[in-house]
Amino acid sequence: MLTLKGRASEAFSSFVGEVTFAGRPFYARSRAVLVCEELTHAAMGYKGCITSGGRGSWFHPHHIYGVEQPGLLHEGDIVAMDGTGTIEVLWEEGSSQNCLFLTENCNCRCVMCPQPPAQSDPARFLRQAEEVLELIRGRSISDCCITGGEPTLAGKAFFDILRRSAREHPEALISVLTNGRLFSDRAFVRRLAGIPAENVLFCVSLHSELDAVHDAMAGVRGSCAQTQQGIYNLAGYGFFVEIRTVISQYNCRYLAEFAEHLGNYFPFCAHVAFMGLELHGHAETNRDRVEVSPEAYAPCVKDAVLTLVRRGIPVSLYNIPLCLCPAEVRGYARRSISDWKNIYLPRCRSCALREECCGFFSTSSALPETFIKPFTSGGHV
Amino acid sequence: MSGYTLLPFRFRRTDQHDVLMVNECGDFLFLPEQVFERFLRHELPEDDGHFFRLKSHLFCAGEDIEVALHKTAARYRTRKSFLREFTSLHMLVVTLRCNQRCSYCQVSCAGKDASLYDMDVETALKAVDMIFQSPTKHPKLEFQGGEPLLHWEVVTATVAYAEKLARRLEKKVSFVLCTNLTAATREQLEFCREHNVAVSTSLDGDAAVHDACRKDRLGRGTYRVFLEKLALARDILGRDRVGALMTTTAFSLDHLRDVTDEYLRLGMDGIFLRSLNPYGFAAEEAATLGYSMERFVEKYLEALRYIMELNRKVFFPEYFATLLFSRILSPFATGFVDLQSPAGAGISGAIYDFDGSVFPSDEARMLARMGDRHFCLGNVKTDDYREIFVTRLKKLTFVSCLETTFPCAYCVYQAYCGTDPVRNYLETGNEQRNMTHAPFCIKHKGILTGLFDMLRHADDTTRDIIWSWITGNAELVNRSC
Ligand code: SF4
Ligand code: SF4
Ligand code: SF4
Ligand code: SF4
Repeated sequence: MLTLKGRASEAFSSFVGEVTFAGRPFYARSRAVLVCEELTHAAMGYKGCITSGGRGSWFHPHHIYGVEQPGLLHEGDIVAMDGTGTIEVLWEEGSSQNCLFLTENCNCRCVMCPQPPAQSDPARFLRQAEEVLELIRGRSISDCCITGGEPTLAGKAFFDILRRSAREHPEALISVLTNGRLFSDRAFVRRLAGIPAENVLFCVSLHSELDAVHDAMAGVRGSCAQTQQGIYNLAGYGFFVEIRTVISQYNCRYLAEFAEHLGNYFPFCAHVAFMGLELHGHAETNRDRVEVSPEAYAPCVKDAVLTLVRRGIPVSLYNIPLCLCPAEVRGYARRSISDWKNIYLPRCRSCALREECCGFFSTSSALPETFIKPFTSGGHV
Repeated sequence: MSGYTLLPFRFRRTDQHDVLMVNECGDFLFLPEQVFERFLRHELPEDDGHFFRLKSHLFCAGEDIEVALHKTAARYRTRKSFLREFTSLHMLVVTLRCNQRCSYCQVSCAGKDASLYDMDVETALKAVDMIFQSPTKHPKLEFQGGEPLLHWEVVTATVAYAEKLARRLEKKVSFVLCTNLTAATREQLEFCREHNVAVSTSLDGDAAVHDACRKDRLGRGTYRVFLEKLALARDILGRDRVGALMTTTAFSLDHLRDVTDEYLRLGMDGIFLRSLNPYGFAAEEAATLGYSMERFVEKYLEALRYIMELNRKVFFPEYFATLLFSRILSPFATGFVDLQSPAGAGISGAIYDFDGSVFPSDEARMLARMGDRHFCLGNVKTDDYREIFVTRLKKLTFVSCLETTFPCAYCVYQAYCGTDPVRNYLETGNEQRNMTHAPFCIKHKGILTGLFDMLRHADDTTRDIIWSWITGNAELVNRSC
């Protein structure tokens, strides 16, 4: 999530508003946040203000001043701001990578989790998600991703938010990032009844069909079976299911058999995504146990991707820079890393494929520099 | 002893000192012999690479047994889903008359003018009524003969009536005309185009091979006329709406390469290398036309390897291998009547004779022509749908399951094979028989063994080719060179 910093006008509790640069008529200011260079009397009546300039007066709404790059915001963005001077972009207008973040909690303990789960009260996130939904109502959006932590842990709120997004935005693809465990419970899946299935995609993390491998990665014994049962139950309710697999030392060698298994027993899955590691959070702490060198994973990834391609199952590679993809499967690599979080190496500047390449996570603690080889123009090495 | 549970599977020790294992729903694995023994004795360590493979292919399960069984069941259900598409293929014998007299003809074709053997329009419409009572949403009507072109008014009337019923019942009907083409007129072919009737014709090979069997009533070869009419049919209907089938005889058995080349030369999409059906006329000519199944298997596999090589340059599937490969490698059901259990006869396909008699398969009808009406399910003029397709067919189904046939019950290929109670009856007087020396078994066992050998040694390109056949996606094979 893109976050900006400044100083708060006073101590105020967090609120959510819709960014405007252009300004609004007085009667339409109560949900809007004005972004301006200096706070003048034109800044009155808004829910809040953001300025690169100095602090305003007592008659101005709550505001954050001295913000360095307010230009990173767009007209229509939805932000949360609070008394610590933090501005979080909850919704970026026009972006296809928007998320509704429901909780920091998770019922898995993945060794490679980039955002380790925290036992925090999800109330604030749920309120923000509801407010975002309120504000984007009636807008035409392309995508909306419901995520966490593990969003299903929000229980009733999860179903409400999913139902609302899917119903109010039939034009959009609503995806749910989940480990799928809770859906192994029949009573739990049943609560999906009435949620339109046509525009909802469940992206379920399954790292292996072998419980020894998956459970070791997910940190919970029995989760492999639950996740798979969950996938069957979701598909049984007519929902599209994508399978997401993080490539690590644990599962790398078995990826081709895994792909075959998917073809044999999950032929209904809408898409399979193999994902490179983000060396952040637990992945960074457990680096020795999880990281695989590009040399080691390249042949495994190649076999796995081709296995699915042959079977006609759509497949993508996420978070793998093009020069680290075996040539046969380069066409399946996507520019998957969010714009605000991807970086390139200095030597990438000369690379002919930079525009199509996902680059690296700016959050990763280390990059496989020695393997990075820019493409000369024409795309041939 | 470790804590894994074995899931149901069948196996065969191979000549290469490993074991081919196939689980209940058709997933397979090759395992070295010693590993296999240890696995059976529950002595395989659970962190062994082979153990992982066995688990991945559902030959065993641990704490995850519930989900493992769920997966097996799901795939099993999918494979048997042809039972839900009950009954999709309906063959109508429009007439027994034919303008040709092929040496292997099974229809005992009556002379060109013996109109005794024509189906009348009333019977045809009754048959259509019955066909539309099948639960399937996609009935397929196939016009057969004799030569249906010689009794054209019944074809046109049937098509019109079926189209009407399909609209009313919201079903999607498709039509196939099985014809030797040699008597085809422009009008007839235009009718096919207007009503979306696909043409399935016969081509046995190049001029020498084709003319050896496919002759007119004066005994003259038909190759030349056939080519003219093929061009006309393609011209009118479009290339993709005209398919051809071949029948292997002793004349072509040693020349399957040439037959393949001929198919390629004529721009066919692929080829179906079919063995001779040893009944009807053909039995009388067995001495000149026939061959042993062992020889067919050998020649078939030789030709298949040739076709595989060809595919490195051009997309050209062999359809029997395509069918078997998709049964081996994909979880989906294949709608081929000959390879089902319970037998496809009556369930996947049914045939309506010119007089309205209904049979579960073509051979059953042939048997009736020889005087034994054992398999006649009834007549569209006198019996209702339930009587034919429920009561009588059920009796046949009871005796047509591989799962209860010896030695199929234990055979490693059971998941991919089929059964044919009619053929069994023809050979032994009984719907069920010991399959050990049955030609049907020799053929399928031999070919499946050959295909598994190919799979075992398949390189990336071979895999691409096999999958391009299964999925029909020619792009899978890189043919840039
Ligand atoms: S990576 Fe694992 S632990 Fe982290 S949020 Fe996802 S499922 Fe939970
Ligand atoms: S050199 Fe840089 S931009 Fe080019 S493919 Fe590699 S990582 Fe991507
Ligand atoms: S064309 Fe067909 S029906 Fe006619 S004789 Fe030949 S095989 Fe028999
Ligand atoms: S017919 Fe032969 S190959 Fe087929 S299942 Fe029976 S024994 Fe096996």
